[in-house]
Amino acid sequence: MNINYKVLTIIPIILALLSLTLVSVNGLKESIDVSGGTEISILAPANTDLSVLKEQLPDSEVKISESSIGTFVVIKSGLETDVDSVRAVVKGFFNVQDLSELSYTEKQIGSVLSSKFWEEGMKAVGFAFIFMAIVVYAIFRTPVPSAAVILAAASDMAIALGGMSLFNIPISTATIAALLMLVGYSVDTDIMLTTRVLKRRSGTLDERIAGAMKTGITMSLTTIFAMAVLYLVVTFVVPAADVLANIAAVLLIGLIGDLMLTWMTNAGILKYYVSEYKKGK
Amino acid sequence: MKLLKDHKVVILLVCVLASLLLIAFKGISFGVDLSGGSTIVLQTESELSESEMTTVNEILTSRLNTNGLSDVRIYPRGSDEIVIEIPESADLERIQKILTQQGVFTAVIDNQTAYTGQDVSYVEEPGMTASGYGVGFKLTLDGAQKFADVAYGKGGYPVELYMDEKAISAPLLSADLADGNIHQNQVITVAGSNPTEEDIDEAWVIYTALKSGSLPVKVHIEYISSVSPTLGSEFIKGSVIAGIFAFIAVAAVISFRYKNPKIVLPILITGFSEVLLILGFASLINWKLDLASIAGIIAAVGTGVDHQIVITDETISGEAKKVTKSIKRAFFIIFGAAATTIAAMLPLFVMGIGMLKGFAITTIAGVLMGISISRPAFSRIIQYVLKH
Repeated sequence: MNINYKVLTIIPIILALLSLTLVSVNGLKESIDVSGGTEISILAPANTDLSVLKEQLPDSEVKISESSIGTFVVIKSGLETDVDSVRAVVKGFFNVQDLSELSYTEKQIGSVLSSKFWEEGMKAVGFAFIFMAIVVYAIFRTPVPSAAVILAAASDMAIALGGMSLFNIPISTATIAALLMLVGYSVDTDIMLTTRVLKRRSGTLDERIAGAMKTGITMSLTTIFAMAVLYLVVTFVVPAADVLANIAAVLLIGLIGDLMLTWMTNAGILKYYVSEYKKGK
Repeated sequence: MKLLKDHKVVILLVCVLASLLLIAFKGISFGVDLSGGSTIVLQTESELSESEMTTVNEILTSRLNTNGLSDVRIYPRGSDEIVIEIPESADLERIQKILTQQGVFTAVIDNQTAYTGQDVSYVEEPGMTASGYGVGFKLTLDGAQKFADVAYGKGGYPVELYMDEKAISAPLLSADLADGNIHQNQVITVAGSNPTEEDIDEAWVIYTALKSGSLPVKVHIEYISSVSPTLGSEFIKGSVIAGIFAFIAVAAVISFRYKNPKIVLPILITGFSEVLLILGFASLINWKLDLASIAGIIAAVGTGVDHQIVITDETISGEAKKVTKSIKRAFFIIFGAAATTIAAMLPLFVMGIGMLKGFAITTIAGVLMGISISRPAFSRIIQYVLKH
């Protein structure tokens, strides 16, 4: 068993690289936060026939989802579509004078702000990553274990991005927030593992890793289960609050990736560091 | 109970109590994406000085008030963005027109400016006038004098009325207004006796612009988010339901792992107290909770539970004599993890990409309160529980 831990170490890294390849080939779906445009969601009574509305809005993407409280209609139009004509169609369809009579939400983002979001969002993620790396290095002050933690966090983000590309989860302010949350959760387990391995004196190396694993998997599972529940409840009860569902989905994918990265890659590197690298010096 | 004499536990209890009182008496306010209402971000064409910004704020406030919208919050973000929050459902189409109208009004006769918006002293609400549906207004004496001079002898000429360089109406000048005398009362008609919805909107836009004056720069809408109150309350309901179920899921995992209510209950109660602490803090600083803030609470409580698991496992594994050392190690992990989480959130807080500031604030506040208040108390509680 001890022989192949180095192979196991690489598997999650390969997965992360495959994810990045997927993102670069398949791209990421853009929410209107990033692309600009208008998104109107309406809570219609259950079983409303919406096919007519769909036909009347050929230039917009019309998504319909049923929930326990009615039918959610989400209409997405790009910047080039005239908002007023979309509104007019919706008003005509639901037979109201003014959209505020409906249970609805509307979000409109112009081109200046959407490109600003994108730019600042990427900057926030970049800086977050750099700051995190500095703090991690300040905590351990040894290059190899610190690098392992940082590598794991970066790979987590890569896997989460790959999952977003695969499952068509749009990049938006909410999912950028989720990616930042992921950094926090990912580093939690990695720091715990590294501290246990380097600072604990009792037990063999494998015992210390096994002990850390028991704690770490409990930590990850609580969050994974909580996010799975959050995702399901939002999807089936309030689909219009898809911000929360998207955050939950991104964290779910990232945390499942984190289980592999922490216990295969990070644990593998630490094992190599303690049993070979340090002794070699 | 000896535990109640421990100062760390007492601090947690006091803080939770204070939070409960704050929540009960001061209440928690929700952002417009949860309670209903609209947020609009205007982008100005050029950067504004502070005094220009004040002028813009005043004019926009007066315009919205003129249209029956009270309790509106308007504040600048940077030197070229204005954020407007309207906490009630409103007719977005009309608001959009009213806000983006620069409001430069001119009346031209025979290529000569007869009067401008600044010459208007009093405006009547849109309604039926002698010549059709429109807006009646009164010129100042100076304005009326200017008009009389320009109009003199031009009976039958069109009076071209422009709003922001767009022609809105061109009634013919009647001979009795062109007699060189002062006529202060004027009317802009937009329709006959049967105005359409659009005509009415148009009249209100003209009325608003005349009443509040013109903006120093052109503005355009960069962002609108509008949520009807019914849907907003669905969001709050959905978040609460999701929160409760997520809590149950966490409880199930922890129960499965520890199988001991003496460990499980303190973890869950401490986790719940962190939610209260964050809500109390939000109430204290008058932070309006939006969907992003709720995500932040989830993040903070999630790391909180993780850290309690670390403390618990270190406490269990530490043999009787080494407990202090184990706890120290647990806090090394926790402080390290908290520091990295805060480091990762800091750029969001500083840059404050509009919608994500709430997320950064609740996460950072939650993590800080966690490491300073609830986690130290939890470590005492769990040590006590495991000893007895």
